Amino acid sequence: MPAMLSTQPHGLPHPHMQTEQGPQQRQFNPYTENGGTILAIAGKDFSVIAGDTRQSEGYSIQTRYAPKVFRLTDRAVLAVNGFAADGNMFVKKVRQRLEWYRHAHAKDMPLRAIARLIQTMLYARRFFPYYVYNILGGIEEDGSGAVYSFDPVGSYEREACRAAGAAQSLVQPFLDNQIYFKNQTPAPGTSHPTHLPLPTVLKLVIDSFTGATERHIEVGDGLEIYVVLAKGASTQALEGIRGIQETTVTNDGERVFIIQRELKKD
Amino acid sequence: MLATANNSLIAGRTTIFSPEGRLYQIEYAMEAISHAGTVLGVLAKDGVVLAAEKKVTGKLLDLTGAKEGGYGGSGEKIFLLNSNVIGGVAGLTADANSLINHARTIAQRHLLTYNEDIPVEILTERLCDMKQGYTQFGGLRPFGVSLLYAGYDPQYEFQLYHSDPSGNYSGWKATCIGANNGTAQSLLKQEYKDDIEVKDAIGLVLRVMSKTMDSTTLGSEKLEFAVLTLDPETKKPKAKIYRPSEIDALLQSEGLKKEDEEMKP
Amino acid sequence: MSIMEYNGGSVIAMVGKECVAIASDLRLGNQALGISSNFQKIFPVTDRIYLGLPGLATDVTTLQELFRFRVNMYTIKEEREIQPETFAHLVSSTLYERRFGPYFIEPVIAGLSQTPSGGFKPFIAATDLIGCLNFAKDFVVAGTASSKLFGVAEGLWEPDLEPEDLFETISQTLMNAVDRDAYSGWGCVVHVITKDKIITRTLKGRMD
Repeated sequence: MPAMLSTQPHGLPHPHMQTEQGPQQRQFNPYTENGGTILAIAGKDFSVIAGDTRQSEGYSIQTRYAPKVFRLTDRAVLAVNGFAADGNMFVKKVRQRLEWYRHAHAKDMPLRAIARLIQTMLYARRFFPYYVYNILGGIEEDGSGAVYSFDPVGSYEREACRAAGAAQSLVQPFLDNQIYFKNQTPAPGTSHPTHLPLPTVLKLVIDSFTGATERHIEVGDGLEIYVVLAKGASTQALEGIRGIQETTVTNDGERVFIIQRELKKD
Repeated sequence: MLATANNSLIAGRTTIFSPEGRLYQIEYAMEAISHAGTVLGVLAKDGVVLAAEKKVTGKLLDLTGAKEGGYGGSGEKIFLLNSNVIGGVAGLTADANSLINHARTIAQRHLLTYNEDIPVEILTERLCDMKQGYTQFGGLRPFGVSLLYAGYDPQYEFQLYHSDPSGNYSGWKATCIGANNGTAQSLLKQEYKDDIEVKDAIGLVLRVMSKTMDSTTLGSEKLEFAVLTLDPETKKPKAKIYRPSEIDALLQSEGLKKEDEEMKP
Repeated sequence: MSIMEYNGGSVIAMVGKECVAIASDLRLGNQALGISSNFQKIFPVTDRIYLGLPGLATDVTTLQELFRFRVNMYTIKEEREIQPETFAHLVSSTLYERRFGPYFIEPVIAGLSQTPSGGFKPFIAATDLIGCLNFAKDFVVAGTASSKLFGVAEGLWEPDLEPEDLFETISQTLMNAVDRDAYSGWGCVVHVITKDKIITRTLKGRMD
């Protein structure tokens, strides 16, 4: 039997002097942060919802391509960011509820109804929340572009633009300046536009993400941008955009497009 | 007289009185200073003037740094201690440089604590307290330097002080240290007027210098010159240590310039 | 509660074409309570070097006075003005002296350094609270709104901006960033440094 420390003869120094530690409680942490950033901007008759594709944990990259933005219907796109497992599961559950609605009502849920639904689904888990920041983008019943943003327990609000995730603090003030024209006075006799055109919005989205990628380690690898156009909106602005794909399902309503871009991988 | 102070038993200790109650080390220090280049100071009602005779001169001396940059002067006799005090030194140059460094640090430390320019007498007093310490503690020799402090503070306005190796100081209207200081002092006593202005003080200083300096020439090679006045707009003290070219121009305008044949290219 | 966030405040410096700009907010708070909307955090070191000190307010004053001491000693001994790169290293050593009991400040330096040919080159630098230097070519940020400043600056900055354009860029960067930070704001001040002059402007912004 090996000699125990406490039975060392006196006079000899203890080889392992240990300061006594009290009882320790260990617990399973159900959540983890997977990094990444999402962003949505509403136009007059369109909505843009974007997210980077990097999924990380601490200083490690789990994957360079894990989508965070999902098409719910032809008029609604949901971006989820925070804890990826909760995010992915939440999207599945929302899609399930949308399918039930479709069977029961013989039509797709209008966007504001989806927003309200998301609130109730999130609040139902008030005491063990989904650790996700949701941003819902799409076209309202009146044909206007809309963005709804949520906190993890369901508090929500309709806005013109919102950034969420790791680089929220980097992106949101940039958007305040470029979309809401905050701290900018218009030239005398003119006024700032209430809505920006689609090409401008797309450039702002790309610039926001390249900026965030530069200065935040959890942002990078790839960018996925969803564009939702209202019924009858012209696709002229989307002409000539490299690699644009359409994922619309129905024939006579809103249209959904996806644009993918590379981001720095370091 | 009594050479006992040089006796090996007590020679290593400055902290010792002679039987007649004198501190020989201090006197020997003053003796060293009496062979050093003259420094002359005159207090005017709107400024203070300092002039000094350089001892380290010669064609081979590299003074290229002194021509354009910095605060003027060659850095041998006259130094800027703080934005409101100019110092003139006579004696062992190495000791002087050490004291100048101390003075500058003391002035900045005062600024750090009180957020004000150090009053002239306070600076003088601090340096003197330090010098006195070297006559009483530590077994070290005193500094072989006398200093003139020309300064301004809002309380007592323009002032001129003289301190010596003993750590004693006094305030003067006009005074001189270094070689020929006796001659210069008596000249000043005759010519000084209480309400003298800076422009006249400049003339007085230069005339006295020309009479007491060892060298036959009076030019920027041998002379250092500085003036402390008050800026009329900002009301802040303005220290000006003259560059060699400015000294020559000044001497020219006072009609005192004497060429040095040796220094001519 | 973080000591760096106790009083609040932010500073940014940017490089332009033969000019630099440095700007800060004017808030001094006691955590959530705002105390002063007039608290200076940027100080001139020489005619061509400006130093921004965001962080714990007492250290702002202490460091400003300490650098004044050290730069005065340098000027008086060297008989010339200190150059920005040298000053940056002075800042770094001063902070590292307190490695195990640091000043709670992350200094930002902006200036124009003299080239051997007599021209002026724009210079900016920043350090962390223990003196690690960062010599950036574009911009440096510090303070409670630093992440916001990074984001907007990354979006708005481009190289070779003329002084007037640099002023607009740095102003928009600062104002939009501090508007998203509860602990920064309550007024902004901007200095644009060119080889001939320095223009200082106070910005009109949100006071909430």
